[in-house]
Amino acid sequence: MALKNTDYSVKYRRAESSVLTEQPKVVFGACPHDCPDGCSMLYKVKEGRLLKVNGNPDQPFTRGRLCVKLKDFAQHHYNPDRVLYPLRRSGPKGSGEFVRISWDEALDEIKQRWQKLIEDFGAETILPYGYAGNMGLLNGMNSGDAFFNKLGTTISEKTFCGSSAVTSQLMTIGPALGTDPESFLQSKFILIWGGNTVSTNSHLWPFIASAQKDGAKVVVIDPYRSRTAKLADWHIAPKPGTDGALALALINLIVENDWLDQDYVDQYTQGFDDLKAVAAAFSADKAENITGIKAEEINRLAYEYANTQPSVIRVGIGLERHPNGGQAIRAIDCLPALIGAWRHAGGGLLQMPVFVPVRGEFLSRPDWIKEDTRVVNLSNLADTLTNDELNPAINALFIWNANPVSKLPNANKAVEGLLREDLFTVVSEQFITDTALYADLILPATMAAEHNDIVTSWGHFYITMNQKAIDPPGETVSNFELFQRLAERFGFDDPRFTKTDKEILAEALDWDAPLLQGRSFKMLEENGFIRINVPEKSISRPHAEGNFPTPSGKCEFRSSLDTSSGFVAPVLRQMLAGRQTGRPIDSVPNYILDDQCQDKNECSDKTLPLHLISPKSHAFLNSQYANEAHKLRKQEQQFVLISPADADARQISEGDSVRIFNQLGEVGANARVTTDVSNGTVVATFGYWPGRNLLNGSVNALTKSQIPGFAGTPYYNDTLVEIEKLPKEAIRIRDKKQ
Amino acid sequence: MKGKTLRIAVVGSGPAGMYAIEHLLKEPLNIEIDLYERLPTPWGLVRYGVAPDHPEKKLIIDRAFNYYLAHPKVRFIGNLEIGKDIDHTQLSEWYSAVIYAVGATEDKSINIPGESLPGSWAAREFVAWYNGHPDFSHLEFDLSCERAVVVGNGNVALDVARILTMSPEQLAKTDISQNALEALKRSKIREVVILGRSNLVKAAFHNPELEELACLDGVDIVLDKEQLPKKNNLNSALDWKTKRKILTLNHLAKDNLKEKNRKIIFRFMSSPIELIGSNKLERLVVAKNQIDFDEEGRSIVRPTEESYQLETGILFRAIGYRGIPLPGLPFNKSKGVIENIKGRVSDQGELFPGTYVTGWIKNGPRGIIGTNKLCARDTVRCLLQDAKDGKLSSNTASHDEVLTEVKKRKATIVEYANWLNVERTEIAAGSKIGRPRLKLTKLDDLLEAAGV
Amino acid sequence: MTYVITAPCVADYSCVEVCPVDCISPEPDDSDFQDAEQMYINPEICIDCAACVDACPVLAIYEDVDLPKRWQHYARINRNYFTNKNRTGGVE
Repeated sequence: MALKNTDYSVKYRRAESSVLTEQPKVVFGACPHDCPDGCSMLYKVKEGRLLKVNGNPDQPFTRGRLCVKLKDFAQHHYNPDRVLYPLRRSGPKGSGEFVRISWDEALDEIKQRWQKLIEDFGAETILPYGYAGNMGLLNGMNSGDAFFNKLGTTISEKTFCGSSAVTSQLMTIGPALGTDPESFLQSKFILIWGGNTVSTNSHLWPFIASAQKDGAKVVVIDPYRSRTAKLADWHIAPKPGTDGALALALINLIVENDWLDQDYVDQYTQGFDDLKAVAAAFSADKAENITGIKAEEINRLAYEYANTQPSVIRVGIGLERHPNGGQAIRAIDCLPALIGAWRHAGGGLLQMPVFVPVRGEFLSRPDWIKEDTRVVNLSNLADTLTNDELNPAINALFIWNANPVSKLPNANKAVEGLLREDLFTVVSEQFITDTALYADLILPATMAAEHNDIVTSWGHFYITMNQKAIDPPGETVSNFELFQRLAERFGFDDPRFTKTDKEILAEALDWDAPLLQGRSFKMLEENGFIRINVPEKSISRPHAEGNFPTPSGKCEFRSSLDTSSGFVAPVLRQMLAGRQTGRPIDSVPNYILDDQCQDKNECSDKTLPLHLISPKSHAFLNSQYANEAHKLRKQEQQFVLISPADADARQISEGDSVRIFNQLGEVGANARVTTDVSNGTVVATFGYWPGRNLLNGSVNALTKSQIPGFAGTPYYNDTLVEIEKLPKEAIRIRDKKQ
Repeated sequence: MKGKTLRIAVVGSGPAGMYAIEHLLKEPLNIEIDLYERLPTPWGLVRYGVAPDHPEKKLIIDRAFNYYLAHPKVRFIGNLEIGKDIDHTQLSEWYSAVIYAVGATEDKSINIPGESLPGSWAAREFVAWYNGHPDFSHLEFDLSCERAVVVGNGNVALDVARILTMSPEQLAKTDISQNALEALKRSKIREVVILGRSNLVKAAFHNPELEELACLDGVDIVLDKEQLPKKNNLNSALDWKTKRKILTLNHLAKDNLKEKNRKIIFRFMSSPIELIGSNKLERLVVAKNQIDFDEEGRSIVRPTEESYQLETGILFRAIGYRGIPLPGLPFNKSKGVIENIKGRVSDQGELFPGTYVTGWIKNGPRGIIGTNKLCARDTVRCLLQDAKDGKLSSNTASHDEVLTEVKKRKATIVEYANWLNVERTEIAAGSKIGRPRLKLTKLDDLLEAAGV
Repeated sequence: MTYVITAPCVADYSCVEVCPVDCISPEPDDSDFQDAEQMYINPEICIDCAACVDACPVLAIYEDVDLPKRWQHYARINRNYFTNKNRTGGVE
């Protein structure tokens, strides 16, 4: 049951080559990226230069290691392509022509133009677009909240990734942390559903591998054979988007065969009869028809999951990117309570352990939100920017921590919007991304080692300190500083905008909350990280006797949350708690069949017979690092996995350049013919910068933009496409370009 | 043992001892380690054995071993010989446990007539000499002949061959000792013959060492193509590593030799049977071997009637190291190791409490640097189990008592700070002449630089 | 898309200890460890996290695209160790 002891091999390797040379100064860092691993890091600095960044060997989850993206984080800070000074557009939008200006000029222009727009249209004409480029409390997703709430802009609802996972969890087990990832060491049945752990949660993998060596069965459910699936004991590949049917079938089988923990269900759950009724419609055979998984395999999965304890589910976010996705997660979230998995250390589920005592109200000041300020969900920005019915229309866009052109569904249409002459666009960035090409003003942003912050995690039970290690280069400023400068320009003198970063950080967490009892800001500064106040991993059984932080105190198969207008967590909408504006969400998990689903792509469209899913690229973090040559070499050029039969039918051979397309756009890729995908499914990872991609395309652009149905999650994995071999002319053009 | 500090002595600061320390430091124990070393300098064969043209392997010192030596729980006591200045009995009184990691300081003899002629050396001596070992730096090697012979074809044999044929310009970039560099500059040796008793399937050198011969400037590799299996006729029963060696040798063997190049000549199926010379080595008689099969069908190597003579003035036997006994401990003469059961010292089944071995003195002189880490892991596991079972004496002398006593026996012990003085001196001296370091090769110079 | 262990390897197996996906062989308790000339990284499984690079006490590990000229063939050697192992169904 022991993890491999990596301490020595990590701790005791000197960076400097001799005991006689001066050792570098070491300062604590926290990985700023949108990743559940949330690594604690050590910045090694000498004479003001960042030499190396290592994983912190003392952090029990990081265990001294980073990843393919961060292994050369020091060099990343010195990338010569960084934007170091404010820039103003000097040519047409999209041309990439910019001239350097001063910060004063930039801020003056923003003040002046926004002032005018506010007078003409009201502050709601301004739309903030900030997302997960940085995950710190000061510089992350909520860094602009206080400023924009004060200014009275439209409230942006940011639900690109994880929103359904958060809402589903809230509806079922409440704002609980879930099963401690480190306690997976004790699990005997580990089900990774909809996640590619080895690529996107790699620090969890050694715990799983250790359990596997100790006899645990590791099962991966994923439409294609990912890196993680290849290391698992059992890979199950349902058709994309059908996981909900599979989950309900499992529930049905568990109930029918009486593999339940009836006592646990009776005492600690509510809504069992409702769940049972919904699941009853999903026999193993029916699920086979929908998912493509053989009934006997579904049977076996249900049996083994229910009867091999402790069993734990690591829920992946990939599941949510489909119309039935949110409810699929809801159904999956019900499974552990059904079989009493929560009774055991190493049993239960791990999904979104984000509910730690951050003082969101203090940081985001939702109390400043003027009544009736409208909420706009960013998922269908492609439509929003050109929507004549919006009143007021969006006339100003402020983008930071985000790369919409690379990421938005229907990005090509979004670009049409970005090209509007009457849209004043400001982009804060580290590099001139495809999005920044459309900016009127670009403001230079710092990287992690250049500012102070605290990072909480969505994958483990630690909070991490990020200490400024080097001075920001050029005139880059942190997001925290950026919004303070803007606030000053607008005459906002509340202490929230005048206190220093360290002062705000010291107050950012609720040190009096039970989950932080015995911890302090000082401890965080001295150790670089603190562990949430929960029992130690080997004895951690938070819900052995219920105690779910739900309204009923039980695991809610039928949720008692008011989801009549949907539900998006406040943290994703500038901390606004009320006034949900989504479509209703059923309180009991369900699975809507294709012919009844209003959200489905035109799936009767026979000209688009292939289902495209777009997981993360192994060597990028979303679109970050996709502009760095050596990361691109690791990741290799945009490729698409296609089954031998599908390739044959299109006369496509291994290595051919192909075009993936539908009515929304196209993207070029290298074909990889493989049995890792089933017939009808193709896989192309996302994050590549469109401007550098073959045919200047991106996979996300092929996804329909629409108002999403469950917690605002776009249906990236519900994209229908066709693929054809590229005509020779296109290849010649690409070869010439390179 | 609970709550009390576990005091352990490690004897020998080469890889075996350093890895033992690594494994001990890994444990969440209250522990104090005294590291004893016979020489004023630590690192054992990493300093005195690894070839000067393999600087990468020496990185282990800066990247790992230095860290353990500098660790607050570790105290270095150099220039003190256990078994001479202080005996085992005394050590076992001072410490709960003693781990011997003293290596194998002798070598195997060929046992043929004339082996003791001047000009006949152990490769071990030559290696120690060119690496600046204070016990060997006074040696003088007669490099005035044109041909040198190396007996044995393991990695040490290849080291010797490389050092003898490498250009002085190349050597000057390394940490080879200054007097060796001077001697090699004056060397007249044009060819090195490496004799291997069996065929190349049994050759002990490793692939990386063999492959790097291709990178030697100004050196041709020669071998009798008859002795090589044809590339496309590789017996599939041969393992992957051996097949790789065969391919490399095929690739290395040159047909067009350059007159001005020095040569390394491989002769397999060859055994030296007599050294001849009036008052120094002049000729070597070499027998040709053949492969026979014994009663059980196993292949064995036997000499044939055929033999030939090689003119040579210097011969290095590189057929293995050998351990020597340490007073007070049971020794296995045939294996050249201290008697032990999985690292616990024992005499005919009876254990010596609190006494352990690791490294070459435990298992014989096999393996490479890292092999010692596994060996030490297993020894330390035994030690920790014994500690847990209460088998280690808790009657120990204190940290300060030991140092006082030790200094009484030998005033000139070298402690960590003294060693750092030597380091600084060597590195500074080296940087003045564009070399990584200039090793101090005489005991007096070392002690003076150390400041003792 | 992998890391490669080259000639300076001393079989210290620190790399094996830190690798999160167990893609380095032979491991210390494998039967072929004692006679191993070096460790090898399985390019099919390596996730490029570079944990092994810093753990190696002799800096023997390189990214495949950064291999020094004299050791470029080690990419093939690391790969062949595993294809050979699979073919012979076990250790050499």
